[in-house]
Amino acid sequence: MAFLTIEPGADLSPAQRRKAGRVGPPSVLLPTSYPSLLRTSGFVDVEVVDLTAEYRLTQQAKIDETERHREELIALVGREEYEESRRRRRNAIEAIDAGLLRRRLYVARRR
Amino acid sequence: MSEILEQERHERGYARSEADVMQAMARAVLDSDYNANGYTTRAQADRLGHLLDLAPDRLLLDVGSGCGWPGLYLAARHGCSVVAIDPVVTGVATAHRRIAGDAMTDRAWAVAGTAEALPLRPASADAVVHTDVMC
Repeated sequence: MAFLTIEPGADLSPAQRRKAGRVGPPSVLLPTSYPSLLRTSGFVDVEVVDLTAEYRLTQQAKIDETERHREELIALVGREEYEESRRRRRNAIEAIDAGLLRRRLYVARRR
Repeated sequence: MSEILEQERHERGYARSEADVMQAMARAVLDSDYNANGYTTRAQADRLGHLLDLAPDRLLLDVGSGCGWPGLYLAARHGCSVVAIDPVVTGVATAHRRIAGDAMTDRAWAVAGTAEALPLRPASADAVVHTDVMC
């Protein structure tokens, strides 16, 4: 199995974890860790690769493209949703820079 | 956010992914032409394919595949079979059209389903991938 996911940064305080949950995707709210989930599900040889830097580049590229296609996107989703989407992505970048969010690749093998 | 609202959000997102502007953005940001809307780039998808050692005699299961990225792409690239599942019917329908358009109906299937109730016998997939599920 191999998967990519977004999760809270390492060693966050409860307040930081709550903030990560507000700005990040629903996967950030998992009350456990992926290595723990994998092990309890019978997976072994768990390898983890941090892809946070690439995640930040992707978020920034999405912001850039969103601004480049501003009028088309507003016609498609409406101004309110357009602005909300930009705000969410900017907040995500701030959270990445603050160490609140990270993106990781997990690889594991079934026993 | 409730499960129903989340489902509706995904339905809207997959329906909009058909728009020219969304496809242009997916190509520019992710280098994907599979109506992708997450964060998985083509380079990352290629890395997944390499790590999973995909080959023509293997069956890949893509859980939460949306419109088919990256499962259908990996099957096209590596020659493996793929079952792509997603609970959002709009995404599954788009994946169906892509499978037919790529003439992969003999080894690719898009199915409405969830990880909790996989439409496969236990231990029948050789590899499992999921990208940005719940993201």
